[in-house]
Amino acid sequence: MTRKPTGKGPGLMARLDAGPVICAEGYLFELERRGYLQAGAYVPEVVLEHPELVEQLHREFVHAGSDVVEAFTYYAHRQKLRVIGREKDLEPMNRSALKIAKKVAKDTGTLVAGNICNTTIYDPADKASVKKVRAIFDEQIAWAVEAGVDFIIGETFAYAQEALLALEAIKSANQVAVINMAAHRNITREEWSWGDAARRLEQGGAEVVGLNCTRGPRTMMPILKQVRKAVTCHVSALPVPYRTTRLNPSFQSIIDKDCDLLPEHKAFPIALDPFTCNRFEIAEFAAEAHAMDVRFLGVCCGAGPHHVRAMAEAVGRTPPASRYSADMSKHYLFGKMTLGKGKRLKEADEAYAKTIAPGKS
Amino acid sequence: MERLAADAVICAEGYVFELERRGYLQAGAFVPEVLIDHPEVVERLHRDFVHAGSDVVQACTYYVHREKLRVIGREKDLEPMNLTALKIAKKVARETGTLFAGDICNTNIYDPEDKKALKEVDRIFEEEIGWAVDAGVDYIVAETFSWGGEALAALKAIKKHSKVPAVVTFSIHREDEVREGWSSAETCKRLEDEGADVVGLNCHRGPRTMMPLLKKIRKAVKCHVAALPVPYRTTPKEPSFMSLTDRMTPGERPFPTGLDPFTSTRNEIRDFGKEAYAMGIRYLGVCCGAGPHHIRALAESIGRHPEASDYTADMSKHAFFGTNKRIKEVQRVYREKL
Repeated sequence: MTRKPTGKGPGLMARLDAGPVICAEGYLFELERRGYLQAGAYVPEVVLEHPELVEQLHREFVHAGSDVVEAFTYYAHRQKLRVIGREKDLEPMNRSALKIAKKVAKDTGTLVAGNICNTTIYDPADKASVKKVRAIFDEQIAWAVEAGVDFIIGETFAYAQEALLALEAIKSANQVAVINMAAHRNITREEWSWGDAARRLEQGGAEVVGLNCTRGPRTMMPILKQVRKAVTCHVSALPVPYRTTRLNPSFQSIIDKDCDLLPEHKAFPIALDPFTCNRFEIAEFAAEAHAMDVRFLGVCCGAGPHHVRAMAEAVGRTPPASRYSADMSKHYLFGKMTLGKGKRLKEADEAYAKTIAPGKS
Repeated sequence: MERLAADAVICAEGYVFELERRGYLQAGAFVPEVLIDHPEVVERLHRDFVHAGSDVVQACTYYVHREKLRVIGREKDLEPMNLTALKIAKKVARETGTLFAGDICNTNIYDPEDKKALKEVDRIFEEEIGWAVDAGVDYIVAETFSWGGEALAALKAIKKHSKVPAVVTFSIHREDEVREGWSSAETCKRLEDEGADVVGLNCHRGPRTMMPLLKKIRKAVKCHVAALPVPYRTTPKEPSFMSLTDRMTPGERPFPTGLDPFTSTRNEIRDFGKEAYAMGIRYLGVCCGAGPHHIRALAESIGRHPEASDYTADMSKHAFFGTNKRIKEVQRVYREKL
């Protein structure tokens, strides 16, 4: 089935066949950072309370190089709204998120994506829960289809079977499916290998399969290699921009001895700042993933527009925000020192710069 | 001054870095051309900071001075850029009942031996103060000086060309001295003696390495003291954000575009706010690198409840780590594996 994309230009599959597609995620964390969304529940109530903020962030991400405007419906599902006691706002929240995303996509010639995600109630041993999960997916997908999305992302699943259920629901609605799993551990929650899980998703008809969230670039890469080997379809990679390590491979497992906000020195979720990757690390990840032919690329929770721009530039793009990419030749102290081009920078400051830069004073 | 006498004033800074992070301002020159290109993005950030607890809307005129605009070849945009910045800041301040501050800063050409340069510095201050006064600012911030003499010149210009209070803050790099060799406390004393209403430090140093200097400053002066650190984990060995090193950054110098992994958490900013307030420091803010989450933490540290506090973290509702009764038992078991 061919679908006419929302914006000007080709749809997702044509774009992927031609080259990489950049998809900014991380709306929850960025809006939390900006003070308009509560950490903990992480429900995008901001969609109803400050829709202009959501629209602004969509525009910032597109400006920074995102080819996709992903509707901010992550955790805007029935179960989550029950937790915060706002179940009656479920439909308006979804419809409003889709409307904002569609507007920005249309204005900017980008793709608009629907979004469904981990329900947090999936339990393979509990048939009633499986039924509830499917109902959650179906209602959100129906709103997305009505809004005219170009494709649907099912994301952040730790159970491969929940991901398969999401895929099934997207396919029953005849939509293009991007399915991303969250690799908290080296195996899925039902203890399949990630390669095996990816293969089953490909066999189930997913157009794109891969990984998002929970792992930083360094610890996502080895699992991404397994996924890339396991499938022939397009692969996605959307790490969190945090310095995860072999010992603490996910951002939930990061320990910061200097942090007393949460028990046991856990940095997740509101004290992760000192673990944030810089733009150079994101660029390196993107270049490596691109070289492996991983084409659906993004950054998840923790992403700022500067990360998204670094990713876009790493695969050869020059988004509008590249107009403002760093040029240290114009810095008042380090201008001459680094590039030798800053013509108007004073001689006297060159010696001074050396006393304040790293190294011996 | 009434607000300072009664309690404290929170002043968000860091516009240049945050707008750079958002992709609308170029690192290096660090001139807010965004004022002309995307004024709505500047207005949004002012509102984000007020929402997070800033009592002040500081016009985004940092580095919008003649010398900087010459470096980027946009000298003709000097006046429109200043007027736009002041207009946007005033609009947000008046709508939100906050204070409206003008801003002048380090010119980068100050040289005590060069009379021509000193004259040009005075001209830069005079013209920017003029525009700020015309716009009706409540006070003027003069900031980020490395020369004590330049800070004094800025103060003198504010006193001469306006009738509004002067907040003068300067920056300390690796050693506790300005470029003349005066200590930070001595520099503050000189500024107080010349009539500054608030004196103190901004930029360059993170909370941990700014605090020891603040203790000396607080003892050295009687007037109000200002403290606006950068939210980065600076250390005694690398006390300023320009001197930090990181082997995962090209060239190993993370300043200015690779500083992310040094960012202070909100609790570090909270602790800094508490400690500074307890010392009697009443003019508090965060400089380059600040996000609204840092400003909120600072506001909350002195007992405020800004609008953004409605969204302060509540981990009882987290999918894995929560204690809410709707969080399934299966998740509570799983979280141990995370």
